[in-house]
Amino acid sequence: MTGIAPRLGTLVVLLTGVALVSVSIGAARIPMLEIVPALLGQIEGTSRSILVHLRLPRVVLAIGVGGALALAGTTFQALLRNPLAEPYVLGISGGAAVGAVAVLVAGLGARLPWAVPLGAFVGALLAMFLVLRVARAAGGSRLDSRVLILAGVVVGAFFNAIILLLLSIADVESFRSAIFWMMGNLSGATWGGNLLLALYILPGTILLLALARPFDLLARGEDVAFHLGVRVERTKLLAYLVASLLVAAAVAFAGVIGFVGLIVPHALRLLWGPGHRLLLPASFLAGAAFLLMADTVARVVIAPAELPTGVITALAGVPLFVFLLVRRGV
Amino acid sequence: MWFSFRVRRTSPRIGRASPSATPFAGPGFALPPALLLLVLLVGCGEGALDSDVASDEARFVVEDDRGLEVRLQEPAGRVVSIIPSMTEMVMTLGAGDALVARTRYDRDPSLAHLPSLGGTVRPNLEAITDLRPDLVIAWSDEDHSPLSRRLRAMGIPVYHASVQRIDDIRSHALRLGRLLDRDDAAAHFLETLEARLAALREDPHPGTPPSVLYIVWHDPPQTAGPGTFLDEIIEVAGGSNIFRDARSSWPQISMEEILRRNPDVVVTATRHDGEVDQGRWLRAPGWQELPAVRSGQTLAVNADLFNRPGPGVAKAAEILHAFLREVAGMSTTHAGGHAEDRSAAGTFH
Repeated sequence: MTGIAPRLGTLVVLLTGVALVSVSIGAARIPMLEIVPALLGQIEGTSRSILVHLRLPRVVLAIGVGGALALAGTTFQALLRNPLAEPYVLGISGGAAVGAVAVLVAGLGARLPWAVPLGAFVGALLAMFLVLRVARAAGGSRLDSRVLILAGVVVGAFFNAIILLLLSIADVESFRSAIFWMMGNLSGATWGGNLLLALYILPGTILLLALARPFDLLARGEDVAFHLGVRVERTKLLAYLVASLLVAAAVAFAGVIGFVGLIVPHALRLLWGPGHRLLLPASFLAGAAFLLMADTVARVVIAPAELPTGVITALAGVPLFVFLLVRRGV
Repeated sequence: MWFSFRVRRTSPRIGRASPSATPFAGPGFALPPALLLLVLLVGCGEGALDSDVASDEARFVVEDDRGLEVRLQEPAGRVVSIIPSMTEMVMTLGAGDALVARTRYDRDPSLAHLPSLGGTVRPNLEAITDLRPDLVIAWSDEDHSPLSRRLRAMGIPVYHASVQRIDDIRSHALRLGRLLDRDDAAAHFLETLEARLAALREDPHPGTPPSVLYIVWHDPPQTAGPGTFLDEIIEVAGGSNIFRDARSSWPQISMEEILRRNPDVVVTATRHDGEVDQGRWLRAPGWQELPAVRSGQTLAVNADLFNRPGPGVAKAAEILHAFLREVAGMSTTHAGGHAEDRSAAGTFH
């Protein structure tokens, strides 16, 4: 397990670099040397407004959401021992989308700015508990990972049907907002929202990072882990709940952003091996850097308009991942 | 959809409609429906001929925006329109009694008794057929081809319309006037429209025209670009569209770009007439940083009136003109001693 610190250091440097570039470019260019003076209030005007009220909160949101999704993806892959596991495997994306779309179709989105994140969060929690209930009911007292995946798939399908139902009765404006929300975007970033998100992400991340050793043992099989002293069922349930809460909070503020939580953990595993003491913190940092890069591209590529961030994560992430896969094998 | 995405490159030639004249459909190109498909659809309006129709039995003949001939033996008496702006046009021409259905967007009380076909995107073919219409007014873009193709196959005449500019509204007034045998009403509508728009044009505000940001829909922010009737309305009302240089007709724009351009005035379309909505979402990130929002130079307008390229354009332009006059008046007061000097006023930053 040597080399953890230098590798994490590399990722921190990468993330800082990406953040600087991201803060600097956009509809209005803000030279890197002017960032600090602008923050201190030495430069007034539009640039400062854009920096303080739009761009910085967005950069912070991208870091939080990207990190949370990649960390949750790593967690689910470790627990389910299934390479297809990703943050939305417990139906969270479907549940969140039902909540958000319902709010938008009801016309509440414009009246109450916090209604959409709240609806998404409640929907995500509902989906998570539903999936755990179904898995418990079908698999007995143990959380069987295959049953859990299956429960996630069917609950997700059910929620998808509800989304289609809602969209088919929506009017044009709500329809447009709902589709945009479902593609995932970070343009709604605010300092208040970020603070709320941090209340979930900071403790959740610390908890998951502390589970690195049990995850390593679980990777060798649940029986092995049990005999080596891991309280398997408790660890699994705790990890599911914490990771799902992270994802629910991320989805509430950024919509459904795909591929970050699937690709980043796999890419890191291909590069640096499966040890979770490195993998867990590295996936947070790399996920943050990846989403921040994707969001920066989404902001500038068709300026003055913007692309949904989720489009870029898939467009850029999938070829990158295929390249790694072909070069290194699984 | 509350507006269509097709744009005319040339304005249609409009003359006095004589019973035998076929109004012109110019070469057009289709714009991407901004909300769903990013596929560029290439329109196919062919250059049309002003051919005289000799036959007396079919006096009600026009060419629609797809370059197809619509030929009626009798003036249309049972009309289904799935385009809200054209529904309004039919009513303005005095043929509201001929309408046999409405969509959920046709909120005029006088239509409330009609059966609703639901939304305008995928109207129910069976429901339309069941109403035995003798004219269906449908969108001209390719998305709606299956519907109109099947209607035509059943022998139901379809008038394909695309409305993007005020000229299109004029042209549709004339052509629908022909199909409904309301040529006089159409001519009267055009005269009134010209007079009202001219009155606004001849009454410019003091100072430089205020720059106007028009928000078609706020989530995600979408504005009206060049070549749209809203761009024309802003200009007629004495303002300048701050996104006139956009690359598409209905561009989605970022909050950063809005702040950077710093419009003098923000006009937002709100659904139905919910004045409440605007106050709330203007608190969303970024909006509060706009000087125009902070100083209250915002106007909430009824989306049903403003976002619809129909007979209501003159009224929309008048409302906007009155608001811009108010704003110009405020700035003149701020300019103090220069109030007399028309060119010195008009800045309010």
